[in-house]
Amino acid sequence: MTLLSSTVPTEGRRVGWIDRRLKAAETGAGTRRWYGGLLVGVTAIALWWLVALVTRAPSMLLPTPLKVAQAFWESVTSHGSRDGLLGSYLWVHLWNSFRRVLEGLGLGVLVGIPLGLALGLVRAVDWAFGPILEFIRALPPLGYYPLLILWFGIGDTSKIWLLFLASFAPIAVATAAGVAGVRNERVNAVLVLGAGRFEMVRLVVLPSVAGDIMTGIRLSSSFAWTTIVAAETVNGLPGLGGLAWASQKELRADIAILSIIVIGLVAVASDGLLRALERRVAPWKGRA
Amino acid sequence: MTQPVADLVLDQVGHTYRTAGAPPVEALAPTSLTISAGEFVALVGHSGCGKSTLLEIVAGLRPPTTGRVLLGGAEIVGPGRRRGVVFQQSSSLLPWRTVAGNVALGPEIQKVPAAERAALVARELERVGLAEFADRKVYELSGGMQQRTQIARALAADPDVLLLDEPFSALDTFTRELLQEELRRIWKETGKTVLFVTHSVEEATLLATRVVLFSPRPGRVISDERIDFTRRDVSLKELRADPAVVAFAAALREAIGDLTADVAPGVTKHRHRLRGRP
Ligand SMILES: Nc1ncnc2c1ncn2[C@@H]1O[C@H](COP(=O)(O)OP(=O)(O)OP(=O)(O)O)[C@@H](O)[C@H]1O
Ligand SMILES: [Mg+2]
Repeated sequence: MTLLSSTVPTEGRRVGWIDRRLKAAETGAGTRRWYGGLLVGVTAIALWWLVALVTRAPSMLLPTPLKVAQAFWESVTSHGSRDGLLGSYLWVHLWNSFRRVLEGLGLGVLVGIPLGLALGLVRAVDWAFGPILEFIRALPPLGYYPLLILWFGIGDTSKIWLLFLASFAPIAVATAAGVAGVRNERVNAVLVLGAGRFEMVRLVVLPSVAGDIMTGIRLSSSFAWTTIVAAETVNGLPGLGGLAWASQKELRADIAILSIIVIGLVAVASDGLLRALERRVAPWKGRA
Repeated sequence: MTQPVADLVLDQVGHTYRTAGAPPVEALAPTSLTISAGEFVALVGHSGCGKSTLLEIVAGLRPPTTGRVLLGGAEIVGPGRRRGVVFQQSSSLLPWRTVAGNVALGPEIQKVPAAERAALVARELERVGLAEFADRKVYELSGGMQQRTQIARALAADPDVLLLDEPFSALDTFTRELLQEELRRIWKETGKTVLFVTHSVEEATLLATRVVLFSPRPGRVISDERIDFTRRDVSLKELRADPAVVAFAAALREAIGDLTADVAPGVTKHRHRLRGRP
């Protein structure tokens, strides 16, 4: 067989991209492999190290990976009177940011989903709130952050308000888009079985848009992470953003880099979690 | 199964599509038909003559632009569970539900208690030969099995009238013949009124007790024939070979074929020819 195929010319061509998609649809698994990212990550660290060594940059500006690793160690240990970095362990910084994101995003989900459903299902709501929502979505959250600080102070309340305002609009818009994409024949199918409008929403609309809602939450989650880090520059300690921001006053580039890496890892991890959820609520996407 | 008693009356039902920026399209000329309970009516005619439009109107999914439809004397104003629909596209099945979950929709909506519902679903799945696929996802089924699921779903809601829009058109000959036999058996078992749109003159001849032929757009009834081949106590396979069946199907095909060339004179001619056959 191998002998034969090596002598026979080939006909037709395969396109790997669609092959992988079909395979993924069949097995229900994602197609991306983690070790590609690891390889590139390790290479990047090696390069960084090389540049730091070759240029002999002062570690205040460009620390070596080793210095950052030391900063990490510092952040999880106690040194006499001071715990971790800037008075808190790394996990305290992390937890504070995480909690703020969770609270803001949670409120965003609670408001965004019903609002998105109403926008998609009720013409009057779309007429009244559709344009305003587009407006809010277009605003950069840090633009109205000063106002929130004026109204709610520099504590957590203004930060959570900020995250809420930043996250509910994308969720509402994604939900409304999902409602617009509900297939007519599926709605008709339950109507001819005697469903009323609320049953129609429960039986067809909600399951149809579950995947779109998850997509919206994923979007909002990454948006929330970038926003919170910036927001924590104002009275954000303990918090990852506060940590990154304070490093500049202390002339500690290693802390800045450590914070960036932790923020990135957390954002990737939460996206991975949400992505798994997304697949879970709509395993039929792309197959039916 | 309760015996349906409701007649379906189409009273000057017509439909004109009005799309912005385009001239209005009269899909269906005002049409009157009375369909008695228990009849199996096949609607045949050229592509685009308004058959699906008519079915959607009867289903209550599309309001007619003229006339009205009455079921058992009540005017149809919207979709409801007395008229079950088997859609042409199996994408009307809910992919997040299993086969059994889809069939259970009707009883669920009617708030049938869980135990009774399970028995009902099992019975309908048994009827269409899908008992062992109850727990499969619908997208894991073949096209023929998906259409059977749709039929089971419609039957589980126990409608008086079953509306089918070319339900077998996407299937291969073998599967199609199998499902034709099944539909015929189900109709005989349940005694439901059936309104069946098809492109196949053979299918219409084999299954229906009445064949309604539509003119090209705007659709109007140009022949309305009662036949009774399907009531004979023989299999569809034997029926297919029956000379009378073959002759009727051939006449029907000819009647449809001639319509393209010239509608008006054809009407009387083919009426006559079709009448003479069965
Ligand atoms: N949504 C619509 N908007 C505008 N015109 C439409 C629409 N749906 C159908 N039509 C027109 O109405 C006519 C009848 O359509 P219909 O789908 O009822 O035909 P049909 O008899 O079912 O055809 P087929 O046998 O091909 O399924 C067609 O000529 C079509 O162009
Ligand atoms: Mg049609």
